[in-house]
Amino acid sequence: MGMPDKNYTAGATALRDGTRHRRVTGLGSARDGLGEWRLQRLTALALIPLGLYFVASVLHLATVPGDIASHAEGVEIREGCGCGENKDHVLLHLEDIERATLLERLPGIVETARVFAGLDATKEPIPVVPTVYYCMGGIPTNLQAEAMSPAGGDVNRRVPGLMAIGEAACVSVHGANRLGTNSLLDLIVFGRAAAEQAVSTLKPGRLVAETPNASEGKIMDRFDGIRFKTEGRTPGQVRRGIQKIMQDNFGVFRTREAMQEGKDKLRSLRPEIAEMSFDGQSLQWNVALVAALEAHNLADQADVIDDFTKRDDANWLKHTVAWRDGPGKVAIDYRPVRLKAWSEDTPSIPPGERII
Amino acid sequence: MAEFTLPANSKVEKGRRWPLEKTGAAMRPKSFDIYRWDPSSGRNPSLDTFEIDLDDCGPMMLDALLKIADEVDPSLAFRRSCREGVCGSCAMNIDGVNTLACLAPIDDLRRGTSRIAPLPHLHVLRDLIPDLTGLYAQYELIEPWLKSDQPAPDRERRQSPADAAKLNGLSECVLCFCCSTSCPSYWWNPDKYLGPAILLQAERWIVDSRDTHAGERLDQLDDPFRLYRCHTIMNCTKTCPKKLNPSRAINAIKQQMLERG
Repeated sequence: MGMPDKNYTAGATALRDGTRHRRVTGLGSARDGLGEWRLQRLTALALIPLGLYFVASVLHLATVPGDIASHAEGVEIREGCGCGENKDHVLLHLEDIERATLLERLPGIVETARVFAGLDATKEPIPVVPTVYYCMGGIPTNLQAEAMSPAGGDVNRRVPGLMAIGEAACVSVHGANRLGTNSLLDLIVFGRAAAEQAVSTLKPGRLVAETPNASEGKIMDRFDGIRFKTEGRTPGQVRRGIQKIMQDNFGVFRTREAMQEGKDKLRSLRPEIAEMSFDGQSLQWNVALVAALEAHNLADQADVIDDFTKRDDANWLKHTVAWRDGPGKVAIDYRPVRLKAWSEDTPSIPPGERII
Repeated sequence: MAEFTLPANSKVEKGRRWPLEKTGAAMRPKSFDIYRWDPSSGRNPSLDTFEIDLDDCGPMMLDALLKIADEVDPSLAFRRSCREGVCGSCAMNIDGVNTLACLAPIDDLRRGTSRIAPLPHLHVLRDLIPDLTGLYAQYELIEPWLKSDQPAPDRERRQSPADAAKLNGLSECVLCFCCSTSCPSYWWNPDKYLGPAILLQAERWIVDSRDTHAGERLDQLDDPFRLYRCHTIMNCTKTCPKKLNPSRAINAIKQQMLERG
């Protein structure tokens, strides 16, 4: 399904079909240096109903909320009502929209359909599948884009000098589904906040903090451990293995059984990941080394949350924070959710039942 | 007399061959000669030959490169990100044409062995990765951001649909630099001539109704090299993978120069 290479590793998952860029590869590279690194809301993934069947694409069609449309599509396909030989996609009809409007408002969709599926979206339906396109979770930050690492009862403990923005961060402005255009907000508003914070805290030529020798050693051990391996599967093969498991067991529909099975499968990949290798120790543009480091990061991300059908705010209106607690172990804690707007002029909207 | 041979350390040698493993199943083999060079190896660049089965590969050139990196030789280095023609990372020279690998269908390539090389006339950092430092410096020179003397409004700076439409054909540029590196004039004077990609970007800000610094922007380009090294060769327009027309943008700038006298 989909194009053979999609890698969506940032933060939480590696679903095989997605719209995320190959270079957006998550947070893991900083991980070993910050052993108790916290990540928030890793299971909050936005699904878009309009991944083009042959190439998942960032498409926006604001008719119904994306998560609802994705869910509906998923139901159709799962229940055998999908289209095509394998009944594994649905057809999106855009040809009812006037051609001029389509070309003006949705030029990207028309172009993508033409290039990747050889279809004229102004004349014929285009095959689509639900697709991952945004991770709402990431490094918890405050409004100044400073990373927070909750510990010892202090849920807002700052990490001075370390900032995260965009999809790497979780300022938590989205809720459980990304709001339209709010990815720009993640970049522009908090990018600016990060810049202002950096200007106000950094002094040229002065260190923010000394790097603890122990974490430097850990980083270099991991780096060299991968770089000098000579025998094993390639990073690409390992990554594809992980992607397949994520797609099969942690897809649009997640059940306890499927996820438990996926978790066991991921565990069984560990030796393979530890033995991953590639030919070449060069320090110049060593993309294989980067791919190997990324695959290592992926291997540590396997947490399980059930798909419940009803909201349970009494127990679950909170942020889940996860971190790596020793090799192969994930620890979980919680942070409160702020529901009040920062500005007094803006009324707060209470959370409610999702109507499907 | 000009020297027409490459210096000894730049001569491209015959490289390694990675033939397709015969499995007995039906296959659609295709070969690619791919430029390889690792600065840390101390060796000359080479053309490695990779043979893959198109029946087990996505449709685009980028799919083939990813397949090779994943399954055959992980050390093959190239830039890539969005794989749908919006990031501009995977620009390279495919069978002699600068284009984005993600938008280049393998079936449209010539029969037999195709040749994949980095964008021409740039220093190579490794394999298919060129050094874009000079191009980015030129991009910075044109100050590619909104400059306005108007006080910042409470909300966004608005634009009429007609004014917004003036940016069509300019704002879609993804800065892949296929055009600049296909331009003979840019090959000769990459240090002085801004080249089609940067000039198209310059025009994008000159025509923006919200920007009040068009005059200054034109002043900055009014130079025998920066703008007027364009000799309307139009390789830029021919090669643009986004089907834009840098040549027309350059002409528009020249016209505005004439109009203001």
